[in-house]
Amino acid sequence: MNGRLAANLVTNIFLGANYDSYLSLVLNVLIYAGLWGIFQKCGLKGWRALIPCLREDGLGQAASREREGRVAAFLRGIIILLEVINLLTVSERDGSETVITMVEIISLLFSIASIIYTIRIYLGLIEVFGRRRRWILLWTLAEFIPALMWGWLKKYQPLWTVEELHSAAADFFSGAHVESLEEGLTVNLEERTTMDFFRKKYLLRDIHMYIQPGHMVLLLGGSGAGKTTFLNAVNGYEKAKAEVVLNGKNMYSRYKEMQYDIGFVPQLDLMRGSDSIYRTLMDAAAMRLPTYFTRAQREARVEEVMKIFGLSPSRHSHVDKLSGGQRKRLSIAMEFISNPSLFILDEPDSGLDGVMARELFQQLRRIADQGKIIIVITHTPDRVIDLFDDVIVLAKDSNRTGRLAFYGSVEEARTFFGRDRMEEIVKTINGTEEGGEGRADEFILRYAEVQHG
Amino acid sequence: MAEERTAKRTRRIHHSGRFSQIGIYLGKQLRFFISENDWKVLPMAAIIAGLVGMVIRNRFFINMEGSLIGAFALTCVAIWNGCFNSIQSICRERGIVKREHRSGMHVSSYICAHMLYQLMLCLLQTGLSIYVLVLLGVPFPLEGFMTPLMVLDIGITMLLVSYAADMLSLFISSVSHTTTGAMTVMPFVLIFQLVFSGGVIPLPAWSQPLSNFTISNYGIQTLAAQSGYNELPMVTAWNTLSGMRDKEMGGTFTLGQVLDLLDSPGVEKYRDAVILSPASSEDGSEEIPAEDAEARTLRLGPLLDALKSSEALNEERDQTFTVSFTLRDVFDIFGEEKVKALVQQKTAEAAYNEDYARTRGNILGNWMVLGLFILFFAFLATLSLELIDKDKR
Repeated sequence: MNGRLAANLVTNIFLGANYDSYLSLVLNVLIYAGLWGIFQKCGLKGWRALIPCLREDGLGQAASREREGRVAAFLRGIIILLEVINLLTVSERDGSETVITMVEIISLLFSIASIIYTIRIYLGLIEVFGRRRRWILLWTLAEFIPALMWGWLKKYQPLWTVEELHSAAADFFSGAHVESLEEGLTVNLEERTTMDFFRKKYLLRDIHMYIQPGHMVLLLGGSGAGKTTFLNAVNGYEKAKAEVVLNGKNMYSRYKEMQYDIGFVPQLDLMRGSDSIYRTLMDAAAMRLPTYFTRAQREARVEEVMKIFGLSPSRHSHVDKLSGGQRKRLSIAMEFISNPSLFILDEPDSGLDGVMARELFQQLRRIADQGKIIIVITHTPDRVIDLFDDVIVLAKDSNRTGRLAFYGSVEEARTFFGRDRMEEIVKTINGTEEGGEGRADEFILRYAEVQHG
Repeated sequence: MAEERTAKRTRRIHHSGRFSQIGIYLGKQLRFFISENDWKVLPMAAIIAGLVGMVIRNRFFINMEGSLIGAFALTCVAIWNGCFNSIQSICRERGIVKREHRSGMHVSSYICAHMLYQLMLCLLQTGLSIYVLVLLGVPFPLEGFMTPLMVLDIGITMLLVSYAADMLSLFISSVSHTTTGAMTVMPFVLIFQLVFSGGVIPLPAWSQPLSNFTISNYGIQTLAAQSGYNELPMVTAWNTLSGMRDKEMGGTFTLGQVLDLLDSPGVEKYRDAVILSPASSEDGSEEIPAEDAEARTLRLGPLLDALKSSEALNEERDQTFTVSFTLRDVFDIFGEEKVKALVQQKTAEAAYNEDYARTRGNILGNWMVLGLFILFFAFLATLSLELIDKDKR
């Protein structure tokens, strides 16, 4: 390896340009100097700005765009690798033009992706520094100017730092364990995690509760608090590190058998528009009812369900032609056909006016009164709150993990949060950036202490 | 113990199995064929076949080039039909599939129902396409090579190509989360299939192995073989020559160049060629004995020797002269039909392609590969859809 190649390799890896491209080298050094200052202001080690990949990752953290930061770091690694391959291939002078061209094309593709992710990170940084979005032009076209300004001028300060995002509440757990009973639903969820670009991410932690049969439960929480994740974990669809027992049966170990005992109504009306109500329900019956049901029995069940949900008059109408309310009822009827013990509904009232929503919830109340457990997510709970027995409140802690902020009766919830209306409770625990009061950690900690005893 | 016993008891409750679910989903597909717009793929197939048929009807089965272009065009028709049949069929209802999967749907049943339904579509489309081609006068020979009828032979190949492309699209549809995503991928797949088919577009050496992974490659090979590509004449060279018949050709040469040419191995190998041979006595009244005939035969060898050793000619090596002639002159001298036959035969020999050999083994082998493509893509579609629960919300 000659000296020129070695110099090129080093400057390409650490400074992002060939050693004889003086202007690029100087500009990059200025950018890294600016980022050093930005990292320090955001509560990170400044030297990370000098190490490729760590630089992108750190920038992502500083900009509250952690995922984008990790992707950008990964892309940077690939681009450096390709650059090294390119330099070494050229130096070998093996005449392999095709290889060089392919490497350059692949490098170009990764560079485009890298630019896009970097822009996303800068947009996050602009939010963190509370600046106007038009700054992105300068960040994109002459990166070194805003990097130096934001890094070293006192006038430019972040609204929050990486350290400030962590609080004591995020690390305090109740350690509770609820005993499972022969009837009702017991949830002991330790954690629900996912791998997000090489990093373990906690979606939910430390949720323990027991729901009695015949109870209709409201699930409250701001966006991203993990409501749907929680419901999916409860019904065994997305398994968590948890023990979920429904009427004495473990939902996780006997999922295949129990999946017919759980009705999950998704937020969207996921039905085929060209089928009639009758055909939709007949197919649902064929799929969900045990095989010992004869065709006549299936038809009888479909007739019964259509009657319960007021769908009989329009039995031959196509799903496409139904009103919003009818669609919602059909969507619920599809799940109700197998007469499940646990009924979970994700925003069943979205798109419905007050009267229709109330009718729907009254129907759900009647189902609950038959001894079923019903858990409902809704963003407009106050118009039907009198129909609910209990409230679950999920909130994002400072680690952005969904945590239990409360579980109990509606009245107890009012007392616990000091709020009359459910929507005010959500506002209390929502982050300030979402227009809330940002008190999630306070209530998570308080409820964990209550559970801890 | 008690829970185990209960579990055993509960296990006896069966829900709809894979076979009954195939029936449920096939029923849905057939209902949608009528009530949604799926039926429109049939007239579309007829229109596409009509457009292609108008172009290939005077070429297919007639000469090598026409045969290859016809094979390429029919493969394109089949791939196009297959791809657009199923490209949106799963992704447009991905949310519904996900919901039904959590309620006990078997992915294998769902894919099987799609396979049966798509087979029906491909069958109808292929039948329609062949019918339109026959109507347009594409000269299909009556007798087939693999089956009693040639239209049946071609139909089977088109069906397999179409169905394989259909399954490829079904796989793409099962991977894509939205119809936009699937339709974005589609052009790349089509371009890959057509460019790397290895039939009409010459490929650089490094990329030739890629054509083994395209459905189009096997479609073109089979259709070209069925149309008897290797037994047909090649007309391009003759047509080009014929078009140039009145163009004046020639140039200025030196005598030395001509003498060098006569000394070249290319001419030397014709030394024994007969230039003049008396077949009978001058008045034609009696046969000349063989020995006399041989003695009076003028061959090229001695003539070449005489020319090359001629001092007079060698002294004039730098002498230039201009030659001018047209191909018409050549045709007049040697006979146009003879030249045409020679050119077509020689170019056809040069264009012979083992991959297009009309043998049962070759055609059956290609059909089997297409069948494997079908199973492979259907398997991939099933596999990818089994992971539907991992979709990010």
